Amino acid sequence: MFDKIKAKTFPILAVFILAINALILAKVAYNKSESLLKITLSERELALPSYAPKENSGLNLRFNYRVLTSDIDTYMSFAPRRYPDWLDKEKMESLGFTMETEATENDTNNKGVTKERIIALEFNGESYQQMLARVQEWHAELSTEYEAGKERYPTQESIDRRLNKEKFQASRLFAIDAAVELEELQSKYAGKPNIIFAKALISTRGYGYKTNNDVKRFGYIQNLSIETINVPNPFNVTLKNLPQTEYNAVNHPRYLVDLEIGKGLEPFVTDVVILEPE
Amino acid sequence: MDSKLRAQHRCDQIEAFNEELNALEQEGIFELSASSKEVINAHHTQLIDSLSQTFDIDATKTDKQLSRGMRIASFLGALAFAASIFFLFYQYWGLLGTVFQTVVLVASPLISLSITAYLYKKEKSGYFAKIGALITVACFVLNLSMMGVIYNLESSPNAFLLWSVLALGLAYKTQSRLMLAFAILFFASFLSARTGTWFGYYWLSFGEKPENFFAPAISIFCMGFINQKHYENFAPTYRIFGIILLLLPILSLSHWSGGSYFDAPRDIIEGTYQVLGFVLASAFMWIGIRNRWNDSVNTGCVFFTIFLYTKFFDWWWDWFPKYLFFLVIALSSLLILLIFKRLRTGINSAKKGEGYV
Repeated sequence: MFDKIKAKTFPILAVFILAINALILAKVAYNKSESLLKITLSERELALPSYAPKENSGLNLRFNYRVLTSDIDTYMSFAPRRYPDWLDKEKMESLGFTMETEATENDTNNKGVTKERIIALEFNGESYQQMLARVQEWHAELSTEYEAGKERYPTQESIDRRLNKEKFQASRLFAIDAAVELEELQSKYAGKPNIIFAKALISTRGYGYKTNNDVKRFGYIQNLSIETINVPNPFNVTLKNLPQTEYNAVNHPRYLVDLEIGKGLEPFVTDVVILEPE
Repeated sequence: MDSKLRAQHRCDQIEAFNEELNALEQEGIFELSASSKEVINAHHTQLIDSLSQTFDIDATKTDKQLSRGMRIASFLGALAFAASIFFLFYQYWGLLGTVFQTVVLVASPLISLSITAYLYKKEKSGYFAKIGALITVACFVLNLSMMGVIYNLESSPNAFLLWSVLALGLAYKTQSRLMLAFAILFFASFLSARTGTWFGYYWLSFGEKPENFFAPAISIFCMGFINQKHYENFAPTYRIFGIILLLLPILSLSHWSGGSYFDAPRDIIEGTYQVLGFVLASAFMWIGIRNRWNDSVNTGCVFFTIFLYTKFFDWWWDWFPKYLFFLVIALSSLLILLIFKRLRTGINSAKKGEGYV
């Protein structure tokens, strides 16, 4: 029998390749069969890659989301994206994690468990308004000190820039909740058209960056399961012609992206519009 | 004669026979009669011609050297082809519509598979078919990974299993140990990732837990016990990769307890794995000696030495001056050499007693 199979190896492998591709395309069709959400995001939430190799003609936009934080600085650092205050011990346990409150002898960075869960991302909602208000408060406080003649760092220019970045450049997409099942979040946020559901990796850590230090082991959002979105032709050609932005400037968004989230929580781009420069 | 390996072995036997016969004649120990020589030479010439035609073997030492060169050239050529295909696709894929991208991705492994089938049929030596096989696997890897990028699909460990199936099929069809190596590595990655998910971890973290590799490593090593007709040279590949996939994780765990599933004090985890490393390396050497598998003996020996030298480093690097440390390493190497020499003498004596030599 093995000899018979061996004689027909090439046709069998050809059928195998075709079958696998058929399954993949069936999955894509299933995802696109029903749209869970249609939403328009801007360059603030779907950023161009910071480095685009010349020999790669494709383009993927990166999901840019944040979490609400009290930790405000002149730079929008990466860390606050990961450590939301709502991801506390109780929440982590509801997500199926075992959380010890006391560190053990073997409590290290490497003992973290990672699980895939569903998170809710709120676009241009209450979380963004709260964040904007916090930055405005921070700006007002520091400006008052500066006006009083206090020599201080950061400079007025840098805190003005930070406020403007919050108004015009920073992502308005905030991670606000997580659950094991999609249905739980769908029923909780039913009727809200600005909530995107996405699969994400949630992990535990023994120690590290955290503003709230009353637990020895805490959870954090490692990353989305789908962090980048492919932009199909011809939209990618338009976006690829846009120049890189300057890091220290306040960069207004230059494009809008129409996004659909399919039944399998896989997003896809349906349109891209270039905005007039402000 | 039912396999290339046996045919090559027979040819090597004939060459060794002729060389030994010449040596005996020159030393005046023994000389065949002219008529016997003629009969034997005629038979050997006919046999070698027949084997060369059927199996494309290396009839002489020069042929062997050239074959080795051809194997290296075909390997490098195949790798270069595969890289070229990747970069070609990356250069132009963004300029194609989604439908056309999909068609290109699905067609490329099918086209390269067809070319491989044609080369397999037409070219006896199999070098070009093996190049075709590697390109087919490269195209299939590109196929699945780029479909994931284009359609924003979540990554999955099942891709490793699918690549492994294709590589394994091509390995057995084209008798390619390189394809078999890829199949083994893909399979090990798949099974390790799945093992991680069974323990509640996300699959992409499988590399952070070296113990995930134990089950695939043992199963791959056990494949090396199976005598496969026509594929005698595959068993060493299974055994070597099985040993590497088992002992490398153990080596890392013997110095990094953080990667272990076990919740025990660091010293206990690392100490246990250090001991286990020595025991298993010795066990593989013993199995190799018992079954006359040079691959197991050599691979086990390499790891035994690595474990030993890492222990020496732990104990003495900070204590000894450097010259003394390296002197100790050198002396221990001599000791290992003497032990192996003694072992070999013992084995040869046993073989003489059993009438093998």
